Amino acid sequence: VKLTSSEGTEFIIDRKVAEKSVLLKNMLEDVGESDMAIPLPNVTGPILNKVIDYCTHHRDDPFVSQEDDSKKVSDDIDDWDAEFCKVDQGTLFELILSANYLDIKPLLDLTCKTVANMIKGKTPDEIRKTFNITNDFTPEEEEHVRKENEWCEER
Amino acid sequence: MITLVPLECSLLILNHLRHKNLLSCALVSRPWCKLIIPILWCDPKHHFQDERLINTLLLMLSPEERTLVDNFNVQIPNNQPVLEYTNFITYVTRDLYNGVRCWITSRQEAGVGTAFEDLINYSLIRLLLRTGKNLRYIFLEELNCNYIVFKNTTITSLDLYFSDEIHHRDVSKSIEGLIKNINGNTTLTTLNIILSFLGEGLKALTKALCKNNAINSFSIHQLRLNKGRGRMLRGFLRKNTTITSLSLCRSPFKNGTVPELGKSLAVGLRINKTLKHLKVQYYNFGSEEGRLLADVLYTNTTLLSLDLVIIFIRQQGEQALAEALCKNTTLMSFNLHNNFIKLEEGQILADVLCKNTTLISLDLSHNNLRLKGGKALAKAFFNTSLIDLNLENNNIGFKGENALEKALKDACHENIKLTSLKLQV
Repeated sequence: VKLTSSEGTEFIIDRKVAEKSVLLKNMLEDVGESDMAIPLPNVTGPILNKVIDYCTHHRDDPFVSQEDDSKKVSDDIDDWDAEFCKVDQGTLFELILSANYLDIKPLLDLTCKTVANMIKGKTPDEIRKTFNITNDFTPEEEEHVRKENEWCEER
Repeated sequence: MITLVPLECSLLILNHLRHKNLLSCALVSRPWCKLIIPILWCDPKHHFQDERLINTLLLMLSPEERTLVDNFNVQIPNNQPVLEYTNFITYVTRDLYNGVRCWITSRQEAGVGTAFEDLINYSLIRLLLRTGKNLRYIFLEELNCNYIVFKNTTITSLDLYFSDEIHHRDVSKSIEGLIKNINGNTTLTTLNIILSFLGEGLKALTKALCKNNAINSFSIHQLRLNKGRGRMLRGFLRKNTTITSLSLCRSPFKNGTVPELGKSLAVGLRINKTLKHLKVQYYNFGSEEGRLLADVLYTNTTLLSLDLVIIFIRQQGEQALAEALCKNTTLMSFNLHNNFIKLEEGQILADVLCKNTTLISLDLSHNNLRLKGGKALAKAFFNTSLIDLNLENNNIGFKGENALEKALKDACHENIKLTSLKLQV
């Protein structure tokens, strides 16, 4: 299967790897065997490279359709996946968008979980620093929101 | 970042976080706050018990409601809340009433008495009904429904509860109010009432339910039934054409023998063509009644699930029900949990499994099956449509269990549907 990234770089991958993406799987089923490259204007070359890495590593994983809500607070990221996610925030962000666009549920879960782990246990100020966000609350406003929602803190 | 990815992705990220972490996120910036507050308030569950949550809710009371609170000389903060939190709430659980009690205690206003507690409860419920644009479910604890209007709000499910301590007259009054709210209500679909006394209210309520075309699920918990009220239910089943799910559950450990209840239900079900799910729990049936219900299964083609839990089906009843199951072709789930059923040889059960091709779930747990061997059943595993079979706590014994487990294992190699077999004591 041939894929073209947004800059026009061509990637050739196994059909089995491509089928990790529900979007590509459906496309391939509709089109059938073809030499035409599938254009992916929403994905850049380096990101597509990462995505292909992921899909190749997980090519033999069973397909999971039902999402498992029981694992809400999960630290069950294996070593390979953890290493895979050690990228700068921009890349992680692009990976989320691509996983969403290409419809690769496990990759989307993994990247979202990674972001969630970056937030876990941090104070609002630490979160701002992590994601480089400016606080646009007035101090009174922030205090009110905290007071009105302080029931969220465990005792 | 969280506010830059598509909404479904940000929700996926936030889904991994608990309330405490989410609050930190909400305090990051205005866009984050706008995204996260609805998630925090959507379904507070046990957090309703927290007096700090009650405190925030009270900020949203109307000036009139505030004046009433002031009359008790109790000060509540009067700043405007940053957001209209009640907008986001979807489920109001029973925890709310515990929260109000905690709030009163925490402010050491314990001396103000039940009148004050009632005032706060009514005020909060009215506030939620008035401002909750996403409210789906509400629990009403010992409130008079005459003072509450939930007709044609967004509420689809409602629980009304009264403890035994409440005066019968007050319960009856509230039921009158409930009926007013039900008449012409087109949004409420599920009604649960939890009370032991209903008096003439049952008649009026079932009448109102027959006129209402939206409520399709009705359940009564703890109610003391007698022959007369059993007959009311019979009439109800005959006339009602919208209820698809009916549940009658007595409190455990109370003597719940109701003469002719089974008969009344059976007679009602002969006419009824809409009920899909029936559950009867903790009401003892007379000796003939299991057979009468079994007769219904021969002719009824609408019931999909039947739960007869701890109703003491007698021996003729078991036999008749088993025979009826061999013939019935619509029932998908059958539950006979804890009925002292004795099917010693397992042959009857095997017959049911072999001949019935529609049952998907069968629960015979906590009976006294004492199946001697797995042979008959092993054969049956091949022929059944069952996915779920529960035989827990049946004095089957290790030998029997082993035989059944082996039978299941053998059968598993063939293409059987049964995926869950529970055997443990």
